Amino acid sequence: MRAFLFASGAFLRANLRGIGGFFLWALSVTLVLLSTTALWGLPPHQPSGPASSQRLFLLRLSPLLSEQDINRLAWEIWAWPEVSHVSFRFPGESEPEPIQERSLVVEPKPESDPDGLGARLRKLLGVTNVAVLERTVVPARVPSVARIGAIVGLLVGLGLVLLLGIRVLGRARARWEKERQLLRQSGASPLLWRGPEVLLAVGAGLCGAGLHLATLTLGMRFIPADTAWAQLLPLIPWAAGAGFPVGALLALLPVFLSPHS
Amino acid sequence: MLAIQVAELRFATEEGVLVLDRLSFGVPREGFVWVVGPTGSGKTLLLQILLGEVRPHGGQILLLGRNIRRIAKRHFRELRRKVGYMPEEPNFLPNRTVLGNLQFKMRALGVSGEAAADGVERALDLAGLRPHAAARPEALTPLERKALSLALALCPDSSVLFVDDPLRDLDPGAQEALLAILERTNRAGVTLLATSREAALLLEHGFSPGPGPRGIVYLRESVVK
Repeated sequence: MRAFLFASGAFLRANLRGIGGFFLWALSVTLVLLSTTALWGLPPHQPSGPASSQRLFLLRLSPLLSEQDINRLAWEIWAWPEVSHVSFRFPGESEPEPIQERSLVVEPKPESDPDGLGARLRKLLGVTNVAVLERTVVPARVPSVARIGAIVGLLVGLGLVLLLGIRVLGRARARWEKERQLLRQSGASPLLWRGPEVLLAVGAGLCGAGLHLATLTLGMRFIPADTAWAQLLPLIPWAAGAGFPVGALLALLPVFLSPHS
Repeated sequence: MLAIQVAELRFATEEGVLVLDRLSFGVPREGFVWVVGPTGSGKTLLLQILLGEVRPHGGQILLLGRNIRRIAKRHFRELRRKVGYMPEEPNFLPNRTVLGNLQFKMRALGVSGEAAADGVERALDLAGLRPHAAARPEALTPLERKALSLALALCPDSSVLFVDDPLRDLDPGAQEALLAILERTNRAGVTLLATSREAALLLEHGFSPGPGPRGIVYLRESVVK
């Protein structure tokens, strides 16, 4: 243990010059942790607009109408200026409600007069019944910009963790090469020259997790309560706690992925 | 009693070049044996095998009475602390003094206090580096650098020393001086197994072909299987 502490101390002293790279490596760990926290806590989607109600007309058709008659009828209705869309429904379908007879669904334009259109539809030959249906239209939900940013941050952060980690470790190994050779030639345990590298990586991970914690703590003070970011606040103690082991493990990846000379 | 015993050692490269073919020899405790052979005959390879860094394809190796192919890793590391290795290219820490180099190795191997101080003193004395203890390696002559490499190999408390081609790249005067340092180390009770490409100088210094405490083992050139 004493030998390991001595070797680690000498390794870290030899690499003080590389503190800038180490700090960037730690920052990349922070970026990954912050992105993960955002992905975990932010709502997955946001509606693209407010919900609205829509009126539809369900026309039940006479069984005497042939397919050509129905087709002609649909084209006639669709040509009306107050109609937006016409579609066929067959028995067994369930949209916009369970269908038992051949029907047409007429969707009026938003600016049209629904009562006038309903009266006009009821007068058509071959239409046995006109039902008016109201339905709520939920606008499409799209991923929030913050979430997209978090995904990009996560991917960029992971790339940087590996890239910077491999570069920092490579340079640290180069600075420590003579000592490493000396220890190898002495038959010393690999723990003596690999251990300090692991220590450096864990240090970068913990440092990154510390910055993650600091950022979240600052965020608790400054995030306005009426924004989506406020949803992250209850997660902060968990995220901060998990950040330390996750950060350390993350920073260890380059140790195993970088080529050992 | 033999400090190093090699029996029927075999090694061939992946390309099928037979480098070591049933090599057998022994080095008595406190003996000084040279392995001589041309470039590529397997001298450095032999030392790497004896140090457990390369696995041979056959044969037995007893180091200080222990079979290194059957010993547990932990026990082998303990054994390795008694076996020093002086590489062909001197390896030292350029940013530390001679004394600092030796102290680094002692502390990195977990030796401190009186044991470390004694080990460093012994290494400095045997290598003849006491006057240069405060010097940086860059200020040393090629001979003194070899001596520093030897001193490092003697730390922490080596009783067996493998020395890889120590006379290489030295002028005749420096070769004589280094041989004298090695002889002094041997007289202090350290068993030496060294390699060289030429036997003439060794024959002049009383080493004789064949087995014995001051023997010369010849390696032939590698052959394709």
